[in-house]
Amino acid sequence: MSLTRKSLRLIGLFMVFAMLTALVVSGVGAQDGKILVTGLNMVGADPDNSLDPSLSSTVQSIQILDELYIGLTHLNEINAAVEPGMTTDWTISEDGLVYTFNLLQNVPWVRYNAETGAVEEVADESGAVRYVTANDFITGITRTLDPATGGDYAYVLAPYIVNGAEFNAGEAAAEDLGIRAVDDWTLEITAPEAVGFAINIYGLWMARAQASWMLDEFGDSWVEAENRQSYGPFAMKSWNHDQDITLIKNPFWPGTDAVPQPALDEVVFRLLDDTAQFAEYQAGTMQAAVPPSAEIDRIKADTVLSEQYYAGFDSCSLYYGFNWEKAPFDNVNIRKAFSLAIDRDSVVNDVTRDGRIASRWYSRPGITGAPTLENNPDLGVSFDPDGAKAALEAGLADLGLSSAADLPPITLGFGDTEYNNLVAQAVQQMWAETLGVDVQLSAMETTTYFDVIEVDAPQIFRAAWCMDYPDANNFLYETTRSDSPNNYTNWSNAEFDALVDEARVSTDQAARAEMYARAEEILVAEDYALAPIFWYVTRQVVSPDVARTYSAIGLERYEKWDFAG
Amino acid sequence: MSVVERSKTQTAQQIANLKERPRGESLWGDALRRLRRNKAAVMGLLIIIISILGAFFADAIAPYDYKTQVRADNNAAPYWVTRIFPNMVPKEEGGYITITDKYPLGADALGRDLFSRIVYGSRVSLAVAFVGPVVSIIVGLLVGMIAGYVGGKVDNTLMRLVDIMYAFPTFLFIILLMAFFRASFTQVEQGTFAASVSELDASTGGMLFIFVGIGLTSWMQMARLVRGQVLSVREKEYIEAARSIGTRAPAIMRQHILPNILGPIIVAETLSIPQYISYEAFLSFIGLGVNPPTPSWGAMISEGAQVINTYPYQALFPAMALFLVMFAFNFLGDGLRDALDPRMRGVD
Amino acid sequence: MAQFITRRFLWMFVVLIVVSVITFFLMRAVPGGPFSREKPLPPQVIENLNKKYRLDEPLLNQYLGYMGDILIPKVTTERIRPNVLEDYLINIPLPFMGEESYLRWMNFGPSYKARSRSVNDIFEEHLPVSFQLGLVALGVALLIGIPLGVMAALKRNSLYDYAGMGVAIMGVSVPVIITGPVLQYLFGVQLHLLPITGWGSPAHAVLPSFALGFTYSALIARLMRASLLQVLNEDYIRTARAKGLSDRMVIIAHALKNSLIPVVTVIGPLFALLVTGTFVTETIFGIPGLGRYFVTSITGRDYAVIMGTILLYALVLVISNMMVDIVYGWLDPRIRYT
Repeated sequence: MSLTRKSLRLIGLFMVFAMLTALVVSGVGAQDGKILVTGLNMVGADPDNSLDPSLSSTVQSIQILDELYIGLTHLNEINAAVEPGMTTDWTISEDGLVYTFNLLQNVPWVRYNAETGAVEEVADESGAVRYVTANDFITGITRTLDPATGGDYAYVLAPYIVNGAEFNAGEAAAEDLGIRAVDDWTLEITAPEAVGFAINIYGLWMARAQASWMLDEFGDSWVEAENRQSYGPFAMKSWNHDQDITLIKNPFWPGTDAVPQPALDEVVFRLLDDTAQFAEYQAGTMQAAVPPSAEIDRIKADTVLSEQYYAGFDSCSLYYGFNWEKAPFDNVNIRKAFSLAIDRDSVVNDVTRDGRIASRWYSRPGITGAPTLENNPDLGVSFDPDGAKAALEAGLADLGLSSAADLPPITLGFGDTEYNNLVAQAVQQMWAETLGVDVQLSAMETTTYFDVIEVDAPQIFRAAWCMDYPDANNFLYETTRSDSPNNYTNWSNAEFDALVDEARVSTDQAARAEMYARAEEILVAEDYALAPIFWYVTRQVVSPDVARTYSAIGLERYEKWDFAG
Repeated sequence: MSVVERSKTQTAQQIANLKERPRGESLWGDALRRLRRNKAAVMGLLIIIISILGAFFADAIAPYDYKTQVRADNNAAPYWVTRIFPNMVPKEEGGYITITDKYPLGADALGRDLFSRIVYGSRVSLAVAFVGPVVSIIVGLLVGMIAGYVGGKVDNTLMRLVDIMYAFPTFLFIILLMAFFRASFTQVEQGTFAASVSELDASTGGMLFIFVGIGLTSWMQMARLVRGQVLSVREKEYIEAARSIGTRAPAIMRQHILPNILGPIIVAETLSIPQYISYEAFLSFIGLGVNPPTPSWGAMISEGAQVINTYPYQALFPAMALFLVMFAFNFLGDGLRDALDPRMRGVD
Repeated sequence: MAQFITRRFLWMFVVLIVVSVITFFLMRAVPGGPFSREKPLPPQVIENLNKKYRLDEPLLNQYLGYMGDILIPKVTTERIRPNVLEDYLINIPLPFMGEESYLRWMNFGPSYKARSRSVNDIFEEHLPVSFQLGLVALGVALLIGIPLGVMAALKRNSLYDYAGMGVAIMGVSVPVIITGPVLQYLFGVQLHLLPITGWGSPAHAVLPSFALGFTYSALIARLMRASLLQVLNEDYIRTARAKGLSDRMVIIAHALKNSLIPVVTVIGPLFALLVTGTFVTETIFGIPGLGRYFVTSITGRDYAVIMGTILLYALVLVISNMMVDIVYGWLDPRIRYT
């Protein structure tokens, strides 16, 4: 036959062969036991895949660490209350400086043994089981604060332990740290000042127990599944880099009220981006996934999928900051005009459309101390075109200019990602329509952008902050106070500083809430230092076969999940 | 008329015919004639000319401005679009699509008319489609011909240079250029090199560095292709014949080698055009693209790909525009190849 | 031939050195560093990290140190891991030098982003995946492209030609970023025939290699067609036909080999590109390959990974271009390198 037909045949044969092979080999064996397959998006410009309590910095890593290592205190995912973690209880001294934790006793260190296929307790040379002791917590905290480790988040823990900051800066020795093992089951931490939310900090992922013998033996490779030792409700069964992380139930975890024994046998975290996750979810191979924002419209309109969709809490807050050192944003009326001209509802309803919440102020409602929309409905800023125009007039008058066309060229800078682009274009349009000002957009490569705004932020810059711990102090004291290194606006206000200083050390939650509300008012509605845009949400679809808890802290507690029926 | 007179007129006729020399047809004249007769190529050329005109006169053709947002109309589409894609269910039928007739092809995520953006986007994409081959042919042809013909150490050095350029970290370089010339938010002093580069960048709509990137990455394939062709053509008899009569190397390359290697080269180049557009799209995808809201087909396709399951038309229509232009370039390229092939001379 | 290869290897060394210098100083010139974050790290921490990774030394020293770690083998009794900074690719035990003595060679450095992994780890785990995928994708491209091109050339200007080339152009115009999800949706979600993401079995390789290979098959088909058309018009083909050889014999024996030259030219760099991994395909299909490291290392300023990936790519490129030159000689015996 002719060469043509032969070629066609060849192609056809190849295709059929490929398909057949695929079909034959693809029969995925049914898994025994209760195995939940969910997704983690660890793809991106900063994939932190150390899964090391002293080094981790992303929510995805913390999610895994929270299942492997339980902290001194534990955050309840439903009401964000502080509960005992690896402790039975704790006491705080009169002056609020000394915390004494009574640890759970006889909780063993475990590891997964691939040969036997089971989780086993770790034993020392003499064969005795190793239990989690106060010294292990000291090992962990010391390692985190050790400047040689170079952990990203040591700075969160350091201020709340005596000599913590000094040790981390290389000016003190490990022995000087204010932590002490009274005995195997009692840990004492001394804080340099009495701060109400410190109890929260001691439970964070960077202050978990770590096994010194494991670090000695395996060095940097201790994080791999075959070497890792943990003690929490799950142990790590396998970690195929860039593919998946499998956690297996730890039968030796005693189970407490706050952290029960898991009902699931295994949890598989597939490391995929959200489009791929959702495709797998729809194909039925995953029971929980993060759908892409773009699909939310379709999901909500779909009778089946809309039932499975849940928009959960995400601690991040997005804002456009104004650089006070650059004209014309040294003038409060100009800043006010630009902030009031942003139609935040339009941004979240027409542009992002995935459930994000139009924000009126900076700190995220739902964390301790932050104002909420229910309690403070009139606080902060919102879209006000007339107010914006009036403010622009006033600002122009202040500067001695006759019209908006006389303003110097204005640039909005941001990292070049899809949604940053969309929001920026929408807001650019809003400023053009309401104020008649043409703002230049400058989409920069993301890492370059981070580098540049630290030193020399543009007149308007996009920034976001996600909580390190669930307290308004993290937002208002640590990023917007006048001396904060995260404050790129170069703004300062003595009243604001005084308020956040006082709220930081107060233990009266009602008073704190009032102080933070007042501080927010100054920040966004009097000085207009920044223009809040929206608060993020997490997007999830979960199969109806799964019985789950709904988290309000941005992290799930998989030890409380189960398969329904 | 007597016999003598008749033969005189006949002779005069023949002399007159001889005087009217047949115009010696040059290679290019022959090529043009054959190209004109290739209907598909002519059609391709027409489509390209129409696209270029469309890009130039975008203001007149496009019904809307490319950046006017009607955010309430985001992702709205006319009814006929929803009939094409089964998963696009209109709101009236229990789905999520807003139906509107305001926009001929529908609107994008910010309520901008897709058709208008495609028309304006053709500017960027056509610019990329022309700059790429131009740079590629100028540099690549030269390098490849010299390397292939001269051979020896020159060939080796040039090819190692090509290797180095292949491995050259272009992305790093573009990031660096953009960071250096774009990222400083403080005003640059007028008259400095940095200022003029920034102005050039702004005047090209943010495309300068994309052109630089394309320029850096496009000529190597051409150079290697050309070299390969030259190597195989170099040993042919007519080359030896030309050399034996004393033709110099540049003349040989121009008159003998070039026409005989043009075929695959033109084809490879016309086919590389979507690669350039994809390259521009990839740059947008990882954050080095044109400044928004300037539209480009590449960026529109990659943005549309993000929502391909929800709003497939946002990727489909720009992709179709690209496909159409590609088809046109393809036929034109084929026609050029056929027309310029000296073997085909006198065949049609 | 042996002389040719030796000379090329020496030149390869030169090329790699030049590429390494350009890349090293370029990446250090770009603003931002491995420790740039949206929430900036306190200056002490950055200082500590720079000290740990020797990033505070003068640039030239850093470059020489980096190249020295790769090129200079050392004999040592120290254990290499537990420290991620000391991870060598080649470890040869030297029992005659005493116990625990090893000859260690090729340390490509640590990753600053994934602090527990070294570049060697990344190569070991992800390069084989990309290599397999790339090879299969190249196979797909050739298996579709070459027959399609041959067919189009033989049946010039017929329906076969237009249809074939139409398909090819579609492949080129529609990038992987669209064909990928569409294939996933069709074969994975709707028909449940093939896995959507992941790696591990031949089934996992079908969709991604097809999506990837199809794009390049267009280039190969078109080149094949154009080249074959040109060769078919050559004198020696006419001679063969005049001699009475059948069309098929003519093509196979004479035309194909010579017309493959442009195709082979393109395959060289294409091979290098595909087997070191492609970012978009691997992200869409969730394949744990090396491709994403090419991009994320640059955006994350992970210096050792940047150097490692680019040097690897350069190496594969140079070797495949050398192979292409050798194959030229086989395809067309008239080609001689002066």
